[in-house]
Amino acid sequence: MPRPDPDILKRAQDGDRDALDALLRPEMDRVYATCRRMVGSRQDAEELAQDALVKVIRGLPTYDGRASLSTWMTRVTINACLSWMRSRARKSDKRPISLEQPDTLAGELGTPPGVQVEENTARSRVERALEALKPEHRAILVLRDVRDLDYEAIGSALDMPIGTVKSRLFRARAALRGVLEEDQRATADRAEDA
Amino acid sequence: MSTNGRNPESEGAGRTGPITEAELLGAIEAESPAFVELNKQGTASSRRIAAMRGDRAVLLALGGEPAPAWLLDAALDEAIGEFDGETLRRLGEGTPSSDRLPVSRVTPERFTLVNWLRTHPQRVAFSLAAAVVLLVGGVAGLSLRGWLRSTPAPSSPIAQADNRATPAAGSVEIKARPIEAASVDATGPRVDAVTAPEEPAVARAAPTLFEAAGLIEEGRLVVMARGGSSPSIAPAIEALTRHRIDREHSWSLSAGVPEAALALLDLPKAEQTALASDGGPVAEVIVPERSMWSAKLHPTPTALAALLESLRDAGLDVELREVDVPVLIEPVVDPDDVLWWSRAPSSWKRAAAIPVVVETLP
Repeated sequence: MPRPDPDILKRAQDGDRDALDALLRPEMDRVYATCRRMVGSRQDAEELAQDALVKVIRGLPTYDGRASLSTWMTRVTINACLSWMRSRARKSDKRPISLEQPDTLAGELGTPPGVQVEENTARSRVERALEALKPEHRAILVLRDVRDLDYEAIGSALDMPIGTVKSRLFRARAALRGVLEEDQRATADRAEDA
Repeated sequence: MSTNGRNPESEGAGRTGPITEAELLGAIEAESPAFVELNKQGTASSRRIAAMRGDRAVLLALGGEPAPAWLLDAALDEAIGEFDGETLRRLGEGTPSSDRLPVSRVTPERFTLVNWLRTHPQRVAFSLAAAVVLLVGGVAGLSLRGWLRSTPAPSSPIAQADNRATPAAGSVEIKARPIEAASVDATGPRVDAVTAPEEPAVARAAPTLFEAAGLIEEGRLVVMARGGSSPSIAPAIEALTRHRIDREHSWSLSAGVPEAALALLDLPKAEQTALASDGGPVAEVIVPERSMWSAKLHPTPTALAALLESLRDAGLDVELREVDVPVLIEPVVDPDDVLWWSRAPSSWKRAAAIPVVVETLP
């Protein structure tokens, strides 16, 4: 992403609302998408995204231009998400996320499972499995697969070397696969008992 | 291609040493051609890698939904709405560093009264003198305030409007203004629309979302919504009442406001529109229909912004209005309220209810 216009950046850092709007509006969707996939609930994502944008606005005077604005904002957003999730984990019991899937829905409706039903089922299963991961694993998967950032950008956003990025990313993928396989086993067991 | 110095031609066939996590990641993300053969072998590992590649494809296809249109404005209201002490101090010195408010916050030095008194003993006497002055001034102020309240209220509507901080709520006269001869189009008489005279210029500015969230907790916020014809607006408003507060919705709407709360609202009469013909009597006076609704929401700028956006989507022009007298409406109790502890911490704060006044044309 190209660097921001120096004049707009300076005015935004001085608090000019129009300059802030011009600078941040192109990034708004990316900030929201990150929060949406990190916390799941739309209502929580809206509040968290607003909180992240407020932190970006307040911290803009400290932005020195060494990283791209998008990468810097991603770092602020991810940190806001991780803080929120840690706070939530301390305050409430973490209930196991049920991965109950309507695999039998097509059968209940009396129609054979179609491709569209299978795709929607796989999508919702992966979404729920993502919510069941640890925050650090979820963050790196969101940055790599949802935001489609390369390893260097992820390393810059999470402040870690590329080697660590690859290692953590692989473990996150393995954790996601583990959650999905566990759910498949549970689903198969229930089908046998039924 | 592999970047770890090993010959990719030899990988997957007769290789020595364990496969690293980076190499497995390369196989999952299809960056390492050497592992294409591994995926074809049908082993448990290769199946797992294929499954993980499928998981990645699903995540890539998730995409991102667009952010709500009000999101950045709400963040700007919250961030820029706070005054910065540094700028205020510099204004006191005469020359601020910028003609715009900086957004960074300056944390003032921590001040403790005990340390202050301990280090400057002569200020003890000053503090006692200041306390006496404050006491005398407070008593005098309370007495003056009581005397002012005891004076009879002026009788004229204009004086009553001036004494109240809110816009005048007195009667509004509609007069048909005759069209002067000089303004009549040469092609013939025309019909002019005459609206109610403007309210006195004592109306306060509409609160920002951040301020309005604070007013919700105090019970001093009213949402005024105006729209077109009732038959077209009514179905859209009814549709808004069909959901409760849940993971997808941060507010809910229900019909009606308690009579006691309605009396406290002290709403102005609905603006009437009169159609006057040239030189003749008023042809028609259109009186808007007013309906009362109660919106339940958590007192946050985001929940309020979401409510306003939905009302706008229903075809209404919305306006936030601050009232002086608190109007506390008990929100409708949902089954989810009993299970508040099962929701996210952001939803633990008790929801409040605010009145929504909808005016539409019949």
